[in-house]
Amino acid sequence: MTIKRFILPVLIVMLMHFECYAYDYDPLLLRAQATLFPKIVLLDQDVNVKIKSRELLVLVLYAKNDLENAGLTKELIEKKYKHTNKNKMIVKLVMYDDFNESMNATAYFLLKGPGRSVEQVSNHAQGSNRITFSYDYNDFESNALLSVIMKEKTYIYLNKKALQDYGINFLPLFYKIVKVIE
Amino acid sequence: MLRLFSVIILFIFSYAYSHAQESIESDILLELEQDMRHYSELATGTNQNVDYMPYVISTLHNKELVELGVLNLREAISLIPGVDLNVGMAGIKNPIFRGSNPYAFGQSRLIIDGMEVNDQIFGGYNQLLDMPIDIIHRIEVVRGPGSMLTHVNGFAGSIHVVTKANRDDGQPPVDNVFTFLGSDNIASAGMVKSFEIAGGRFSSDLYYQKNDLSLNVGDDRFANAGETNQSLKNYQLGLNYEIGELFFKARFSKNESGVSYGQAFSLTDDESDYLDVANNAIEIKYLKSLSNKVSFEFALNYFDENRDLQNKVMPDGIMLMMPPPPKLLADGRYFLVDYSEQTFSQRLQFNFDFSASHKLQVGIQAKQAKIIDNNAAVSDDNLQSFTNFSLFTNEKRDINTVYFEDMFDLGEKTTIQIGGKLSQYNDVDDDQSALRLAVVHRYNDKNIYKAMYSQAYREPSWREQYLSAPAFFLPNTELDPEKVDAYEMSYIRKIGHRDFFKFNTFYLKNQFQIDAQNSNRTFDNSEENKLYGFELEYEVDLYSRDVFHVNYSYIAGDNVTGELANSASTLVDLYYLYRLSEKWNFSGLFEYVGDKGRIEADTRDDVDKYGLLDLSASYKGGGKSLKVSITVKNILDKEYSLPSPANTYADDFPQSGRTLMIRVSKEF
Repeated sequence: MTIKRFILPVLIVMLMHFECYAYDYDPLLLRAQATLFPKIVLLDQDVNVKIKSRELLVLVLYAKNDLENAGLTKELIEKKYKHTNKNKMIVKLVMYDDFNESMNATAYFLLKGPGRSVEQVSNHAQGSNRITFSYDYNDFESNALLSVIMKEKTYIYLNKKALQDYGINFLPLFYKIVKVIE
Repeated sequence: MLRLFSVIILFIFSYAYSHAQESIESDILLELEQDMRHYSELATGTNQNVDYMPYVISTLHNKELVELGVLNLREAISLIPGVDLNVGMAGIKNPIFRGSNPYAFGQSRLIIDGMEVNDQIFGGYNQLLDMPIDIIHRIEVVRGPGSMLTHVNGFAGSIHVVTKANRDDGQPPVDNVFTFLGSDNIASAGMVKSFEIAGGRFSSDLYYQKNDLSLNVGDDRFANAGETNQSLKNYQLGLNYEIGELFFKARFSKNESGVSYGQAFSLTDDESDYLDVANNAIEIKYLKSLSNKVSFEFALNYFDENRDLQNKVMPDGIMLMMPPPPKLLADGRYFLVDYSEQTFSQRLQFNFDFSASHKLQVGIQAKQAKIIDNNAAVSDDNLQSFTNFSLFTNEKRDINTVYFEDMFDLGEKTTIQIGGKLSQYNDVDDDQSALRLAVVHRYNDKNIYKAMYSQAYREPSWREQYLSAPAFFLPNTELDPEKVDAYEMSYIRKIGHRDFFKFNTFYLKNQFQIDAQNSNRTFDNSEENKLYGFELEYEVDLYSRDVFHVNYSYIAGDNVTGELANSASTLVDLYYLYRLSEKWNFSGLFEYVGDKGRIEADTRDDVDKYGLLDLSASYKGGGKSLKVSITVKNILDKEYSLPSPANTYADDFPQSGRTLMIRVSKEF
């Protein structure tokens, strides 16, 4: 009886509640990615033609109810980006649902989201030879280009299948430190 | 001429520009590599990448433990595969790893913020297991010999606690206050605070907790039954200061408790009986890089423990037959202890980072342990007069250890670990040595295989070896250290970023195991046994907003007198965490512990299996900084017991029924 009294209201609340919950992120991995991402963008040898008014525009794509994590990512990227050259980095947040083809940027940072949305952004970036960097390297299946993974060491993963179509001209030495994933 | 000059200037500028650009890109690339190395070190330092390390490790995080309603370190450890609990003298609840010697307290090691806190008297750390989860950032438990710290000599397992005040992931501690209240008048309050001072970072934690728990127990060895005083007052202060390459850590703790089932497994009728245990642990560590590839650390440690006990160990009117002549104890007998021990330790370790794929650690450690108060007394006239004597016959133990660990990659996918330790004891005839050989093979990103062979030794505790008091279990000065040869294999399937399946199998060949489960009740090295089994762990988020975890452990073989005594062969932990929204979480935690056998001479039935269900609900508000949770433990009010040793209590030790707890915390 006691159990029924306790569990039933909980189940009813759970069933009636439709609010989505934010995705779960590994804080250390996100920090590492936010540190490495701006540097990787600068290793694109054609980055200067992808900059407007000396501003590197980065779009952080996030899923509904993931605004807090997106805000944290923006903060981390801005904090970790050093003004090593004349260009400024502007980070903007865009929800996957609000993304459209007019949203051009220097590079795209993809937080967790539905595969279809990730693929839409990746295809758009690929069409304009822009870098996509995904939190989850499983998004390579949705055509994302880069990711960082922490295993026994920290690795930068590069999506071999997508590399040619993206047409990014990275510094040749960069290929020596990345792991190309089939 | 002007045109030629312009072309040359243009050429020089463009040449200079392109080289400057190349130089910038090279600098960025260099920084990128440094960052990758930094995060690899951070991941290793925080054991984020445990799945790739040559140990069998499980990690528990504060966030999930709080959401599950786990109260303290002891409860958290019981969620680890292969870990069971046994009750010893004065109600001490001691973790058992994979069934290995449930009567020894020192087969596992407790390391808090890098400081080893096992004592010499029992070799144990029980008094520190009441530490509330609210001050803990992370718990890492290694099953099997060895430890995440090369110099720590874990025998059956080691528990590494990282407190919130000392979090090691490169982020400053989050200030917070917490309190919890619940059944048995449990109440606690504490805080974590950090700030910058004098060019360094200071952080601390502080808590106080109490409860008035009492549990009924059946007839003791004098046929008395009744309530046992399990009450506790526990407070602890942790201090950390870090400035440049210098680190200072300290932890001061005190437990004031009832005597539970009694020092000599007899029920006291004196409500004023008590057992107070105070610990102080201090570490000063200096870390210095000598070059890009070589660094050293020098650590000075201090540990002390004081035990103050008053326990009526024999009831009124008992005829004492030994030693002759028989004596009537009209007022019963009290046993009193005022004991203190002190250990100093010095450790120097060199770290060689030959490359990202080859690291070597070599170190030497000297420990000097001694007794500084060695007082015991008995009183046969209601504490009016006392017969005083020394509690222990030996007053010091020096241990010198050299150790090394070499880890290197064999190709892109395989890592080899070779390690070893050699210890000399002033009170053990032979030097003790232990080898470790492990292979980790990363078949691909999703499949990891490990194979490990390791040895370990455990020196007898002073209680086993040097006790001079008339005790229920008698000491033996001729004891040798326990030894184990462990063979372990592990397979990890990484399903997603955090989802995994793990399978571990082990075979432990234990030698010279120490217990007093014989007709003389005297500690000896008679036990040689084999334990084997496997552990399965599966964790997955089913709907991206939940965590489902299940682990199953099976242990077979024997640990004492040819039986698998006081330790279950089947253990299951299952929990489900449902994050309904940003604000609301619900969880259910189910723990199953199978039947437990007994030693050969104990003819009682096996200890019954039991399953416990806890339910929790948590709310986060105030921008997630305020957390309120309510937990009902053992919601089905299941009656269950932990085993009593043979010839002590007629029945086993019943444990708590349904309890309620409310916890509130606020981050700043």
